[in-house]
Amino acid sequence: MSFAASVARLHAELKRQGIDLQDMRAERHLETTLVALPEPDYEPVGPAKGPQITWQEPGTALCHPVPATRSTGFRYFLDGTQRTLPAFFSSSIPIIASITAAAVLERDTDGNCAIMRGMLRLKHTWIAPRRSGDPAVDRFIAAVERQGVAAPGTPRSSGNPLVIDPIDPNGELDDPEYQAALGDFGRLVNLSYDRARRLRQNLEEDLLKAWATSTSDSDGWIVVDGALRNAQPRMVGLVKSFTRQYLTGEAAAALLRLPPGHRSPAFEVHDSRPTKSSPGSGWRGKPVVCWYLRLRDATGRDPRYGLVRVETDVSVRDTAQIDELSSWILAERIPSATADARWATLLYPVHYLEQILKRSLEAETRGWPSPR
Amino acid sequence: MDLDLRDTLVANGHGSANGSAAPPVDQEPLAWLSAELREACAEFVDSATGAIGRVVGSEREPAGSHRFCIWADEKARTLDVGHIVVAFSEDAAVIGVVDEPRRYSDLRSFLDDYYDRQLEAAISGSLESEPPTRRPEILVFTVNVLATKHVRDDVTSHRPPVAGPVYFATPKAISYALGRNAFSGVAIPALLHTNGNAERNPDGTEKRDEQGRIVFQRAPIWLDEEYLLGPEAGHANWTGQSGLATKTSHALFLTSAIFQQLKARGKTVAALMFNVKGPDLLWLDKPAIPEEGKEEAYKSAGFDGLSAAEREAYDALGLRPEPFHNLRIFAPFKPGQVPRDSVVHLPTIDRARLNTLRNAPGESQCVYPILWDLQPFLWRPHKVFERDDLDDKLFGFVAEIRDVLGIQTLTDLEAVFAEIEESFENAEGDKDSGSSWRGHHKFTVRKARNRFKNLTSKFAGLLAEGAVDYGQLPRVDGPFTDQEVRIVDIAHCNTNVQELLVDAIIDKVWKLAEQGEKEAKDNPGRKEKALGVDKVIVFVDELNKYAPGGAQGGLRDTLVDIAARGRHLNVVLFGAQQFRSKVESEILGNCGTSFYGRVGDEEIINASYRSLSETQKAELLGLPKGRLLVRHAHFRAPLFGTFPRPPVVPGMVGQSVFNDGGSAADTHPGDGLYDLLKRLGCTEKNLKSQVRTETDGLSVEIVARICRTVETTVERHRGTTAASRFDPWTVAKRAIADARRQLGARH
Repeated sequence: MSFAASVARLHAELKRQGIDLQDMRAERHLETTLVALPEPDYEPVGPAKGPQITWQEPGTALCHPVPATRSTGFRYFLDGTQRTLPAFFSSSIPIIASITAAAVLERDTDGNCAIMRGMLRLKHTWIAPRRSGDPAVDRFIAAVERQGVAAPGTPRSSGNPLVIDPIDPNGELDDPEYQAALGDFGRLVNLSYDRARRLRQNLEEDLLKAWATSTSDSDGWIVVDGALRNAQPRMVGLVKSFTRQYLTGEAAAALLRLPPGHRSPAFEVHDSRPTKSSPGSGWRGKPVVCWYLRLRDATGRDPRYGLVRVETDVSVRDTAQIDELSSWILAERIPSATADARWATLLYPVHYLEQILKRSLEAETRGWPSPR
Repeated sequence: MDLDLRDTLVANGHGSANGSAAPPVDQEPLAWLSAELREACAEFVDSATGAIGRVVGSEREPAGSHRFCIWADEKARTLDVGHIVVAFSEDAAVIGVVDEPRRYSDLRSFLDDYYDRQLEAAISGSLESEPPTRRPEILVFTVNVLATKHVRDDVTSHRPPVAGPVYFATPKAISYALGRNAFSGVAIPALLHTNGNAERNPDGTEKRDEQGRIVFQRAPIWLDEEYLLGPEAGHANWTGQSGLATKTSHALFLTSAIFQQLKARGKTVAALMFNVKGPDLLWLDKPAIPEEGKEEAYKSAGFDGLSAAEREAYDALGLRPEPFHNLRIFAPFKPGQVPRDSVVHLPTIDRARLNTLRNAPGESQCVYPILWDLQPFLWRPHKVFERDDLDDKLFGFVAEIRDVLGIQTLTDLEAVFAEIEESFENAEGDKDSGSSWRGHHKFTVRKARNRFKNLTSKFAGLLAEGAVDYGQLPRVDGPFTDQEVRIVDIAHCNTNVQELLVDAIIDKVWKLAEQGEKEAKDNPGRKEKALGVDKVIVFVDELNKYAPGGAQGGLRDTLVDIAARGRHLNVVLFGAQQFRSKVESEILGNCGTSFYGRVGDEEIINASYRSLSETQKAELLGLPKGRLLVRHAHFRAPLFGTFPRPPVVPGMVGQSVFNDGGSAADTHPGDGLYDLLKRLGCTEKNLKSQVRTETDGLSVEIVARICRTVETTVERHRGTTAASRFDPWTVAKRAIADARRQLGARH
């Protein structure tokens, strides 16, 4: 039974029990309505205060050509996706359903890709305030935690709660502060969306840890779609679009003029400042070594077109190794994923993986009422 | 609530992660089916090979009851157009034939790949190098539904298959899909279908050939006798380019299959064919597999006999590669060789006079003459006289001499003309009787005399001046005998004779059939058949010549009539032509079975082929010899199949080996006589060596004359009480002694 069908059944059951939840399942999922929300490394508008960086390649030009190669050491690719669905509301409390999926794609020596066995994860979570005082919301949470949604019969994992609180997931806020946050429906929806994204990030993190323990150095490298939060050896994070500026002055100017097939010098970043979405701790667990790489010609376009930020763990310091990793990324430019608008910086295997994950989410939400 | 999605994805129809690699993981074969359906259809599915793809339906191309799409697993490398596969709906197996392959990728335009290549070329400088990731492509086939099998016998399912695995069909499934379980008549193997899965040994392993390649599963494509030879449906048609489509070869193969299958069921059948080219159909009684001692002769003639693969194909079809044992060849005389006797006694004529290439001593035993007196010509004035000549006046005169005077022969007619001429001379000056005879004007009579005078050259070899006595000889338009293949050899006749013979013989056979029907109605208990057999097959090549679309009259009307009613009257038409679009549509419309060989591109654009898919048409454009597309009354979709060469020696080879002495060094001039004696039933011990000893030193010509003497003597006494007293070998020895005596006297 799909998630959508399970939810429909749960809703009918609650209705029979006299719980009056208003249905908003015909609304579009939040990924289509809240696209403007910032990424986790978003920094509020204000004086640019870049994190501390340390240059790693003294003497390397600000615009460094990457030697061409056809070989690549990348064998694995990790990506995740999510769908955040407005489901119900009671008084002014929204109840949001979140489905997240992540997987590791493995590429064989012939260039054929397949999901690595055991490396495809799916997670269903409800996002609703636990201390709203709204009886309908409370009974809903109780029902979900009692019978589970969306896969009846599936053993519940103790480490993964079925319902999380959008305002205070860790139970740290005082009641007045909590109650103040409750009154704003729109804010609760936005917070729920942030929680959903965090769930996806956590899912990806878990998967990355599982990958690291199930492979060895001889197995090759993994490309993670996005920034590395806990960089480890053999991992490369590829940030396709970025709002956080690490370079300033002459280096920034040179960066925006990088020709295709060139990179910036590498630098180490200690980026552990709190952000809105991670107010309690730094969003990176470990420092990373970064550099920028131009994949496509940006003549006549936004200077960030075709530009990616590459992240690795701090053991990568040698220019030759940085060049080699860069050349591997350049070799991944073909085939191009032109079916996706982000194709200039989207590696084809990541696009491939996204397609699979997207289909899995579509399968899970089949039967969910369509937007009218 | 974490779960591994792999199997969920598969179950939801998304296939394996890379869209290509692993088929669905079935712990037990067909475990995903209901127990009832699994029990009903387990034997239809090649579960040893496993799933080869999945049914896929989209908004644009939903699965339908007659057609659906599948994508092929990348491991199913042998799956191709023409293969038969099985999918499932909720309560039924859906069996279909694979068609219309298309390969899909996510490339939005060709230019995208071009630009990728530009980037790659900048790095490697080569168009051959491959990028690190292969862009996924899926191979999608359309499947045309042949049949469905519901768990309940009394339900015919039209429900499209659900998204799920697809398997290769087993021979049992193919047999079911071809409707064999519903056949009302004898099953005739017409072609051999080859599927993409492997034949299996008893221990379940794949069968391999000598080169270690997989032996593909083969299954006969069956035709229902009652839908091929009547009465339910009838007739067969072959179309395709001359020389490339193997129309005649397959017609012979199918005729052999029919003969064998019907004989096994105690039914009688015969075939009538016209030999129109060289010795094509003259050696149908000689096997394709050389008899002992003939191997070298076959090889010298450029024919190695049937290959091992072809013999295996015969085995797979349940047939024996045997020639036709009851061959009769009928031929008119060579021009100028018709005896000028007042009565021509055909049993005693020298068969060397007949206009056929089969004339070797000892090989002409099955050759019989065709000779007409004038009367059959008088009944076909439209075929005999030119269109411009045959006005009402001449027509009236012909009717007068035929119906009133009862003229039988040219000699009689000439006497009448002499009489008329004399009457004109005697009545000269008399205004009435001097200018006409019995109301026919003098000029009409003279015109008629002129035209009749030319008939012996116009129909050279066919028309005798006097009367014709067939004696006990079989007639070309007489009743048939069981398993008889009757060849009318018109290859070397002029066009007038060819057209007249084809027209008259088919017409006569048709009249026999009509007479048989009438007799059966009048006397239901009567066992004797006017046709002599249960079924007669009439094979007409170049059907577009004899029954062109839109034309009228002549043989076309008879052929249309046969096509319309023949299946009820036990006469079926096997027609072949190069251009199906040029054949009378009524004939094609009544044809229950059609075969398509290689077709030319100008022909295939015609409406006659519109029911075929574009892939099938494209396939037909380059179809190799020995492969045909077949449609049959029981089949919901056409099928491709192959067939081995016919079980008889090719005409040219037969001519070289059996008629022209072959080129083998070990042949003896007496071997022809030996073959003849053997056919005449001589069982003498060491006959071959005896014949060789007796004929030693005699030339081929003298032995040929001896053979003719033996044939003539035996023929003269055929059917008489004296026949039993004649031992052919004794007759031969006497003829040899006479020949040696004559030789001695000459020296």
